[in-house]
Amino acid sequence: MSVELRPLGDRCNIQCRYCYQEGTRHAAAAAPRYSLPGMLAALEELGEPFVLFGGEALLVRDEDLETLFAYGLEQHGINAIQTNGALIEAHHIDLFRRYRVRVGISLDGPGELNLARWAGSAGRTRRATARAEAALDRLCREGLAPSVIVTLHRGNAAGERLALLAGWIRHLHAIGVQRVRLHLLEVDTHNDSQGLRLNDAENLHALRSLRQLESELPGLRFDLFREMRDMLLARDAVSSCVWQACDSYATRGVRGVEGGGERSNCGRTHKGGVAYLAAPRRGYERQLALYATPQERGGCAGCRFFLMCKGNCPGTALEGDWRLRSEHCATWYGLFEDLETELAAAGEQPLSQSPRRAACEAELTALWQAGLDESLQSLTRRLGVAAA
Amino acid sequence: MSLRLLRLPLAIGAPAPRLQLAAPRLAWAGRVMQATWTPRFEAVRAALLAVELEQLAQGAISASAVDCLAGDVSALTALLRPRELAAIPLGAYAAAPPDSADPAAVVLNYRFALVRRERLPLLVEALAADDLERLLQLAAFPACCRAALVRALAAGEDLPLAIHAHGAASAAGPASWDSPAFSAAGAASGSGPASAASSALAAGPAAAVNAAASPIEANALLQPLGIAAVAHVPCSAACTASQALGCERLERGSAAGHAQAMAHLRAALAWPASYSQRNGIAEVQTAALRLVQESARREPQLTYRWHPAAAASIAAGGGADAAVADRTADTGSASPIAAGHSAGVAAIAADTDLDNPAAADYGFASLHAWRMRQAAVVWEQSRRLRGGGSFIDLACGDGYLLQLVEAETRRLSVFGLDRSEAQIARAQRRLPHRSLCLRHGDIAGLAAQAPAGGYDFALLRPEDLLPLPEPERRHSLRTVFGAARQVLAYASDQALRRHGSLGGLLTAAGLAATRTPAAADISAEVQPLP
Repeated sequence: MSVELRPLGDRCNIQCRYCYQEGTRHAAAAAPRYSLPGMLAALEELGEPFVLFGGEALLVRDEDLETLFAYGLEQHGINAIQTNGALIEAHHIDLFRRYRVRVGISLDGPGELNLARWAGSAGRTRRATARAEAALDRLCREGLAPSVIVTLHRGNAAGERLALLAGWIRHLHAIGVQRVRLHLLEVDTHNDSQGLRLNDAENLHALRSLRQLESELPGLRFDLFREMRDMLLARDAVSSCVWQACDSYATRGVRGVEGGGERSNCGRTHKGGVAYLAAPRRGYERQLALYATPQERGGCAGCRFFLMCKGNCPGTALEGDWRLRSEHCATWYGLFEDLETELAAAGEQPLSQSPRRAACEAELTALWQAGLDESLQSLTRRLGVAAA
Repeated sequence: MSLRLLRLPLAIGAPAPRLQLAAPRLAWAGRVMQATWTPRFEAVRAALLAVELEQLAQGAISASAVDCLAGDVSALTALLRPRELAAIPLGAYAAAPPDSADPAAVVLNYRFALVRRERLPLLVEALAADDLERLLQLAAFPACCRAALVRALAAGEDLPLAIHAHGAASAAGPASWDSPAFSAAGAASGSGPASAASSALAAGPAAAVNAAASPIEANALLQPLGIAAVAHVPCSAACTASQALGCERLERGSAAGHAQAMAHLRAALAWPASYSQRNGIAEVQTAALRLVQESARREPQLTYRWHPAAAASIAAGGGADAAVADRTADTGSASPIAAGHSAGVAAIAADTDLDNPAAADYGFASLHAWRMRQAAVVWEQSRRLRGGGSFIDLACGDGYLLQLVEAETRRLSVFGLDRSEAQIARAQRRLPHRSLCLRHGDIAGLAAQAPAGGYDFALLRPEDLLPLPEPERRHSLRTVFGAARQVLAYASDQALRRHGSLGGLLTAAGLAATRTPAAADISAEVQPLP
């Protein structure tokens, strides 16, 4: 689980056309509250490491940024920030070093490949992209290599652009980047993402190509592939939120703290432009419904990868309705199949092929009915299932 | 005290096939909403309970019901005793408290039927006979609502979330879902405005938008929270009998000293709201909060929107989309790759600018490395450049760095020089408005091209001077420093590898940084070595 600290809420210096926060940004009737003591009090109460998030986290004034980093270092020994990178200046890098800040930069590629991360005009977008690339380069030269989040879409992974993206990732590897997180573009009704989405075959092709690239670049890791493989082996102790049984009313993977110190949910589930607060109690209505609902009606009934995928992120659900499975189901399914085949060829038994899979499903759904959850690792060990 | 009023004096487990009594999970739309409306809801619930007990005491209704935590039974008794009301236990159920994060924190809830003592035998008799119709009659359900609820429970509907929404949604017309019970209920009530409903239903078979200009008191979507003027389950949003009872209840509340709470209730009931049921999950959404509850029914998919402000538009043929237009407002962006527009898609498909094969000629292993270095130079020097002036890149290649420099501030005029004619052609395509300032040539010709007063900045690649014979190199440096007030220098990857650092490269080229560069710097302002 991670705590996302969003000091300025959705406020951002750029306007990505596919940003899932567009809805809440436009629906906002008033500026979000901002209280440094409020944020610190909320973080103290949660008592967990946090990542500075946005919107754009570097819009926070420098003194407050330093206060937050100082608190994070003192309490947890480490800090993290997710940024689009365009606002990183030399003094930020100094802060990152002094306060042990792990930096994540969201960037979809070089130059035109990043055009969907629109900054208001072609010139400003080009400048923002170049500054992010420069900051990324500088961080690497300073020995603070950031991780990079790349969202795959028609602007950076369709046709010949995929080769350009791969070339850019090769360069990132050459300068020291070791972790790249891949996201599939999420289509929302409240932004301009529709025409940007790759179709399922294109998404799968892009991911397979990048997986091939990973094998050629020692030291570089796409988190996605490792996590999916681990899920098939029921090693989900550190998997990211999309593979966990996320509840859009109380998102498990992401817990937010807003600028006034109030708790919030993961913004990916705010489809109607309303940033609902987290419900006090987690529920498993979605997973139970998906397990019982035929696939032709948006469910997952009968899918052998259900235990690993659980319908994936509710923020990427079909039709923007969190009750349905992920719109990227076909892509995840294809990748799971690839990994499953490879594991079997290597003599390992993935949980999807286990004769005890049904028993695991029955146990987990029974837990969900009771309002409880359990990791696959613990569940399979408890039931003596060999895949773990 | 935690009492939940729900005027359904039915024993737990019967007669409904599945009587869902646990309070729905709730999420507020922001801290302000929560802070504002939590105490208001509490005040409304207390006022409605007081009104209900008074109506029972006065004989206006014969029976009602409350859910009550075990610890609150004595408090409930204290409320009932002075009014000479009796409580009959209808059962108990365990549920997590709505405000508890701990799934194991289950508490016991009791359900009591409330009744005037002299009418106790009637209630007991109806309960013993499992006579739902009679029980609802004692609870003062209007005939149409009574009939609708009996049919709904027989059809296996859940309580309370789904049933309330179905009841409310029936105003939109019987074709909006396939429940026989409620199809009949909508028709039986005779209150659904058919013409408006038909335009609303044009949105699709599974979507219905309330098109009735019904009074706010009929909005029953928040009833599961105990926030509704109508205490019974209305058969439709347009049920005139329910509306009358709702209005009467609000007036009773105000007259009994709860005017403020009733005003809050009116405001909440006027919120736009939607109910949807899909794959066994029912959800109510408003701008202030949302509720979720499992539902035994998996079919049909049902969507119902309550939007008083849009009712007139829909009735005039605006269609269902008009009802939700405020939630899908156009963002009005001018991005060239705005989705769904053919021009945008075409822009995406067009060639990128990432096709220059000359990176190796400039000392880089790839175009990405070259581009990133140029971006890094501008990043390092941006504070200096933002002051404006004139800037010349002495090995401008395809003009990418100049384009980035130009983007830093409009106060900068950029110029480019390069020994490659092909690269200058590319630069002119990139910066057509600067095509006359982009020249093919080398440093020797710099002086002839300089504007009056010279350049404010010249960007030099010292490695380009290294192959030159010493006299020519010195002449070139004199030319550069004679033409520009500040000379900046940066290194390619190849040069850095060869010379170990920027400082090493500068020394080899007869230059020195004006200030010692940081270890990670790849550019610096330079001056000639003496």
